[in-house]
Amino acid sequence: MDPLYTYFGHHKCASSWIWAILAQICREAGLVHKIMVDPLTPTGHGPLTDYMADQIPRHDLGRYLEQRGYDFVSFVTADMEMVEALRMPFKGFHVIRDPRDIIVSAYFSHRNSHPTDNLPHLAAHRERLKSVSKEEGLFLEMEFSGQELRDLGDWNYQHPDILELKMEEVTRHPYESFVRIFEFLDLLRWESDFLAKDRVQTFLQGLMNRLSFRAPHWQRLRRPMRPTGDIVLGRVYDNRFEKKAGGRAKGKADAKSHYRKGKAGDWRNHLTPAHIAHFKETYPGLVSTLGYETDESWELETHALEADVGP
Amino acid sequence: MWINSILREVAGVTGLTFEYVYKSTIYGQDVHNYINAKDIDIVSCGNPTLEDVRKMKAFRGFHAIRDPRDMVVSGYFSHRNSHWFKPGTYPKEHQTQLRALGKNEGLHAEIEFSRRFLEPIADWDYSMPNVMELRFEELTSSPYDTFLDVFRFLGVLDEGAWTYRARFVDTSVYALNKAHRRYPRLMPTSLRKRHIRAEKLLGIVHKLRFSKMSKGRKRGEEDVSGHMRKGVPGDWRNHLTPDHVAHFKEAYPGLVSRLKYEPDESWGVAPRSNH
Repeated sequence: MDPLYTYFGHHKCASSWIWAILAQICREAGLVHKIMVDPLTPTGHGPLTDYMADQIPRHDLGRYLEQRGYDFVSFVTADMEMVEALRMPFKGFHVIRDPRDIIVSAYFSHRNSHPTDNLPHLAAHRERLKSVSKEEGLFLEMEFSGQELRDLGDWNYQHPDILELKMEEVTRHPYESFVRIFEFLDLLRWESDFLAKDRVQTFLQGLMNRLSFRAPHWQRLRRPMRPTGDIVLGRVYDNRFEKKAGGRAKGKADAKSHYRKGKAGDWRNHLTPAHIAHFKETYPGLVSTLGYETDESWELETHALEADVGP
Repeated sequence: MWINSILREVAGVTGLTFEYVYKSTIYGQDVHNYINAKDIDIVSCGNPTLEDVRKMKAFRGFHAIRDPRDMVVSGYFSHRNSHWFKPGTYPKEHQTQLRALGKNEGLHAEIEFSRRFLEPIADWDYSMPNVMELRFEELTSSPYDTFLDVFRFLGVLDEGAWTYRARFVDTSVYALNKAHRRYPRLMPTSLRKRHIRAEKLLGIVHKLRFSKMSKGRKRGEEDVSGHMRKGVPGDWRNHLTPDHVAHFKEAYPGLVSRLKYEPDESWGVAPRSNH
């Protein structure tokens, strides 16, 4: 039996970009992909939704997924409780981000661009952010995103079935990273002796797999297959930052876009010494635990470590 | 070899003609005469000289170099253990010599033998507007982005939407061209496409990536007998001694810093402390 394939992500850690790529790859590979969300993120924990059903109890997660027959699940608001509730063989990857950049990114997103439909806690937070200065708003964001930062701190980074990645590395080398992910999941087709008929067959099966998701009675066309390199890399190419951000290069900011800037270390341009002191007091040891600094003596002028996860 | 395989595969997918020329003369004629006389879409030139390139008809291309010290070490292992040379030639004699010598002497011999590769690099014009300059180190660390940049520079990258229709056309052209190569009598002509889809190019780079060419080894894992031995930049430090470094500097004065692999010629086996 194939394991459940999983992506464990977090709010403001490129999760929309990653799950969009996974969803497109899965559609072509004939794998049923679903996204699983805790609507209370990043401020609390509650029942989950996959947008097919609401109020999925966390303790019942494994049974629910098994019943549904999902092949690949993107837990875009992950925490260890979800991993423990799976209670089935799985293989997955987990993407984190410098928590200081999460705060800055979340501040702009929550204030300007993130949809608030069916998210009353976020709508209320937006009103608060709009009524205060940026300095005050960043303090408020540190409190609002508290549950997410605690989840990052509580994560088991040694799990043998989870590939640990940093968003900074994944966005810097997206092609290499997705190849690495699919190799870890053992989901990539080995193409050494790929004949022309295999290539044509893969194209036709990919076409039928995509059609099979369009209507229930076309399901019979579906034949799950391991995606080839061009299927995986083509979807990464389709979702490259420059295209998503409407032609802007990485590093150029648009405060109102969901794909605002895409550059690591941007927190230095927004956090003040007072923010840093508050962050360290509220989340002691978090930055160094996640490997973004060697210890907790970091300040505005120190240099963050290069993300050490590479393909 | 790796770049060559990718270009050959691109030609296979697009139906373009491809030829690999290595020596400064081929079939008794100069490389530029040979290329100018033939209708070749993609030419891969191993060890090109500036003189030849300047005499070629209008082209757009890219030029990939490598740290010359890594070239010497890579050349030593490849020429000693895995490369095929025609019997009775000077390179074959060199191979026999390398197999008889110890590693220390062998590397000294390779430094001399490498003149045929290093002189064209030293004499190259790195400011030609129609030639994109690349380093092997960039190609191996970010192969996907680098090959996209190369094909974009060449003006042959199709970045249009990857629609069902586009996929259908692309796969059909591929299948017909494959049939043409396999059964030229049944399928006498190929369908030439001047552009390659980004997705196809990425798939080819993936299919032919180092770990596959080297039969499953990852970059950095060594197999001294394999042609795709290790692939890690700076490996020369694990093999060259101070004597080799002195010999290299005497044989090729200023080359490493001219190619910007070092800020000046005071480099040695030990890494600089400010690196």
